[in-house]
Amino acid sequence: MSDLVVNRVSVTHGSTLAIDDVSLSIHSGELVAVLGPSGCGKTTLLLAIAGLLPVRSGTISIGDREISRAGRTVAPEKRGVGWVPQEASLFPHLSVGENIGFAVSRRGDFSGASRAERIAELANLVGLSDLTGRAPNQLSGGQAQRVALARALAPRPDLLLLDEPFAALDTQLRTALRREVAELLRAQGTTSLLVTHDQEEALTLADRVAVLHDGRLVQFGTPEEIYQRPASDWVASFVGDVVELPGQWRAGRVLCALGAVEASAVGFTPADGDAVRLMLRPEWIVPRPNLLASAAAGADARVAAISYAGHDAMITADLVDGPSVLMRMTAVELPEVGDNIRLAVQRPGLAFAAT
Amino acid sequence: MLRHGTAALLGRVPVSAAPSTRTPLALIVVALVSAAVAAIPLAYLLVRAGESGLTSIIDTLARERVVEYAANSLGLAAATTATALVLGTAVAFVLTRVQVPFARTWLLISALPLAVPSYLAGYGWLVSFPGINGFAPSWLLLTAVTVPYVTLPVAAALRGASGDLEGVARTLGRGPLRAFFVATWPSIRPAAIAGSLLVALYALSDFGLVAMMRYPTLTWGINSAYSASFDRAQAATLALLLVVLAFIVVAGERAARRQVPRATARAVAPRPVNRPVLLALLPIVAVAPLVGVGVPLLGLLSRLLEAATVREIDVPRLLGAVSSTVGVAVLAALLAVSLAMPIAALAARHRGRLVAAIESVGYLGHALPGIVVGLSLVFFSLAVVPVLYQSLAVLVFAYAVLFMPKAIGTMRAGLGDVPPRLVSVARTLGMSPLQAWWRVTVPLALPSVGIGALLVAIATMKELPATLLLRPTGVQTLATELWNRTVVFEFGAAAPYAALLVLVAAVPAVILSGVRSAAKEEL
Amino acid sequence: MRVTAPLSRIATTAIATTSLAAACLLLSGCSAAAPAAVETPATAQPVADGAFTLYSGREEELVQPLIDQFTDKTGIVVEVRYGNTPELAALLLEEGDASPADVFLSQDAGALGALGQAGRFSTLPADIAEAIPAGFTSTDGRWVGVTGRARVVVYDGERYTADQLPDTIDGYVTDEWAGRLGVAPGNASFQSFVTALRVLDGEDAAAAWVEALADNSPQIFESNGAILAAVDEGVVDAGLINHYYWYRTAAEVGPENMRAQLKFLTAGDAGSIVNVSGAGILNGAAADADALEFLRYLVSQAGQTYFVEQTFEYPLLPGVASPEGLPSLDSLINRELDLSDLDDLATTQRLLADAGLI
Repeated sequence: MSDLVVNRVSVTHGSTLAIDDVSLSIHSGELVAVLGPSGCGKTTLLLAIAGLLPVRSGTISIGDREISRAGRTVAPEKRGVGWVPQEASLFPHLSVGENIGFAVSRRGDFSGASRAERIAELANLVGLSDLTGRAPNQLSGGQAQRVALARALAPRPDLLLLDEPFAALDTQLRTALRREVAELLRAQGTTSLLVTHDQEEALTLADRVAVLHDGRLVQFGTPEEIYQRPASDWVASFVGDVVELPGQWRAGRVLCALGAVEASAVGFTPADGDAVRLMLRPEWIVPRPNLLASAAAGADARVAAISYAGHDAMITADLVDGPSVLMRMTAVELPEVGDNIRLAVQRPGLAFAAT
Repeated sequence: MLRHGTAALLGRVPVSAAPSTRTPLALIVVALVSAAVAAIPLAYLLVRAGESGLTSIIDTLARERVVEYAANSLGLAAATTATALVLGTAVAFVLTRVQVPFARTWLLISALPLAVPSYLAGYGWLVSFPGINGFAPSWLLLTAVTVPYVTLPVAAALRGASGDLEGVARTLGRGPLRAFFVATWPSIRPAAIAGSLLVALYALSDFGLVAMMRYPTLTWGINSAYSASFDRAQAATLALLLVVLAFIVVAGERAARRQVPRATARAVAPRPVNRPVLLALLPIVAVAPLVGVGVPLLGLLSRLLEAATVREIDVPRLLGAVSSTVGVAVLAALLAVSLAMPIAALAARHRGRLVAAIESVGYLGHALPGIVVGLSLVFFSLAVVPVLYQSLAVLVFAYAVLFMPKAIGTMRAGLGDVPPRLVSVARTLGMSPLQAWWRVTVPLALPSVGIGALLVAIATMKELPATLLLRPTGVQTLATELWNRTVVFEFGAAAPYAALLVLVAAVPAVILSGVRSAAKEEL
Repeated sequence: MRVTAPLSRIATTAIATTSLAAACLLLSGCSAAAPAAVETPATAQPVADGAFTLYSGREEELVQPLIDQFTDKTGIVVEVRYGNTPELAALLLEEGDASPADVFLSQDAGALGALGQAGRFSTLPADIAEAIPAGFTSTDGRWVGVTGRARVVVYDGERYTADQLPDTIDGYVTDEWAGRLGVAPGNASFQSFVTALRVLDGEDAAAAWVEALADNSPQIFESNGAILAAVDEGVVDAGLINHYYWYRTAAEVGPENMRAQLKFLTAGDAGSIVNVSGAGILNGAAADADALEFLRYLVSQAGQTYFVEQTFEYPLLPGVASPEGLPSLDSLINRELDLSDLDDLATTQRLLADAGLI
């Protein structure tokens, strides 16, 4: 397994610039998610790394081997990059076993195992040992994705690219399968790049997340970093739910409807009195019993709606003086609609420039 | 802006995720070789027409009768194509979307007219209805024998097309016919248009039937020029005019073809209908086989019974003709498919004027009457490989030139249907482009290759004029034997050869109706 | 249906198919007289090697027995290629000097003239060329006439008797014949007839006749045989054909079963001219004794009698009796006419083209 280094890569598609000056590096064995909305260029990035699209500028290297630069693209079959496409894309004319063994030569795997042994090993790895004789159209979506994964792993690639591999599956299956796949990849020590538009997927599976917006890399960090300390308001609202309130900056705090909330300014240096926007995650807003009310932060509100999700609930609370906010509570002790509630903010928020 | 790019990548626009969108040079070169082979008749025509000088050419083209020939050729081709398109689509629809008892058998029957040479159909009809002549019977019979060219590919496309869209259209307020046009037609259109192209070219190049029906088209004029004035220059000029018409038709097909990407298909089960509706629908399926096969064969049979002198059938000779017919048909199919493959591969994935030109030239042979292609190969083989003159090699080669177009269309569609993503996946699994093509594209496109081969085989079995010119002296096919006898009105002796010709050609036609795609079965 | 298409299965099918094809061709190759097929193109073969190649524009049914007769008598093997006269002529012209053919047997004189003018024929030795009287053979000895075919009117016997019909060709383009006359203007025999009309009646009269025909909505056919068949079915009332077609059909189905009947027009009228079929020797075979032997046979008593008995055509060799029931050849003869004069033919065709008939 090797490092992947993408250095200032731009990729055009037709006449449009799909990827604009993106740089990132992945350490050996790491699982990195590329997260972004549809159309942001993440699939393009993947295709460029796979060698299926040429780069217009910048370089891509795996280990110490440069595989893409402007005007020179090493052919996909020579890159050692595996690809699990969005919809399995199994070869319909081959059985499951033959799909898995597609890249394994007749002479066998270079670990010494015969071709049949290698296929059995991989089938077992993804939990499909007894399906090797089946035809692809007889598999369920989840099974097909596993076959695609096994197939891509068969030639022991230096890097594995997964293009929204769980998008076509139903929710329950998706959650279970992605956990399984992530564990498998970690166990194998496979360097992986996972493309997704699902922030929950990126946050739960990846070691680091690269957030792409309109072809540009806007943040690259651990899941915690991008969630708790987003680099821009766009990243903040894309990666999770936000509560946004207008306010005024004063000495490290924002005066807003929730009171004087401690905040850190992101991307600019505000002066006292400047209008700013405060962004909070719903789970940073908590109920405080009246007894412990402090003057500094907090506000009164009334519960307007409760969106119950089993393990937690999203509560819409109408502030007494102003807008509604969302707050997320574990569902053990929920208030009821119409209850009066006092809100407080339990950690510093993020202040962004007023647009 | 970026959205378009991604849309392309997601397959909404048919651009392959291939390392380079430039057309590979090697493929172009090989396709050019095939195109050059197909262009041999064109080169011959230009040489011969040029011999007479420009004024003579203009004189010929300006003749009133020639204008009439050209108008008749175009009119007949247009009418036949229109009816074959409508009828073929209707038949395909009935056979795939309606629950018809013995559906396989009906499909088989609908393919049978392929096995009947147009001259035989004409002859068979004239036996029963001697007075018929002119445009109407020519149109009717040409439609009957060419409908399968539309029916078979459209049926295959319908099997793969999603029927859900039609249902959606119905719920949105469209009536059944509108729903069909809005929802289903776009995805079967390429198949239908490709089939129509073959129909149009066949109608342009046919001589046997229009001669019998005394409907003067350009092929009639070409034949007159050869027969009456032995003026090969004049014949060549007329043939060049036919080539121009053919190019127009081919260009029209390309414009109409506009590829629509396949939606993920969920196969549609045939809908059951009640008896009266079924009885109303079945005649649609039956009309072409009846007109193209039933009536002619009955006519021949009646002649056979009527003939005062029923000659003894020379069995060894008959068998010899059968084995020659089958032998050359198989070889011609193999050669035609090999020649068509690079052109089809090129046209399947690449666009551009060069590709369009190569493909158009490939279709050339199909528009020319057999006598032109035959003579062009006499010229060519004597000039280049005189040792092979009047050998089977040249004859098979002639068939390949003549019928390569039948394979190009189906193979192009089959190759184009292979999702580019599968090839890309194969590349990432370590396959070179050639390996990926061989291990992924070819197996998946193989059924379409088979179809192309079968179409060529059938056409070869029926072919007459080029065979007469190029066959090794003493070698007979069923078609030449049949011709030997009808020329002298030996109806009794002709009938067994006619029957056997249809029977032998029916075998590949039947196989054709049964070919399924490699991976069509859905859950 | 399982979908794994093992390539081995496809390969097996391909191999089996190719083997089948090869087997078929071997079989058919055995049944055909194969050896001559791959020989190098003929240059002059001055020795008599016991075989020669014939391109026959006359059909197999007719010619093969004659050839067999010839072979029995002389032991010379004939390799025959059957085809349509015009197509064979086109083929010979296209082949040029590389043609494998030694002798060309033609249905009509036009084809012979075309080949002669293209310089493809060699002059025949005197004994052959002079065997047939002038007027029925080439003027320059390049080809020899073999049989004669008279132009006749075939008519619907159920609607007419012979006396009711005009005796000269002019009578068939009057208004009452509108739409009721069948002709095959693309056919060599019709064009020879029109050429005769020009020579006998003059250019103007001929042009007038052609115009009158064209204005009269004639039923156009591709061949004489087709006209006969149409008249016999009652589709057209009358047509202009060659005499022997009727006799051959009558021989097959019985004269009493023929609805169509023949009328010979007045001797000397252009509508009753006699066309000839003939043969020539190609350049490469000028000294081929076997080929010359065959030509001799065609114009011999034996050969001529064969034609009389089998096809009811007129023999051209003086002294051989014409078929019974036909008007004598002498009465139809027209010595002024060189039927193979192509310049005449080209003018005729221009005439017909201008009238819109071809």
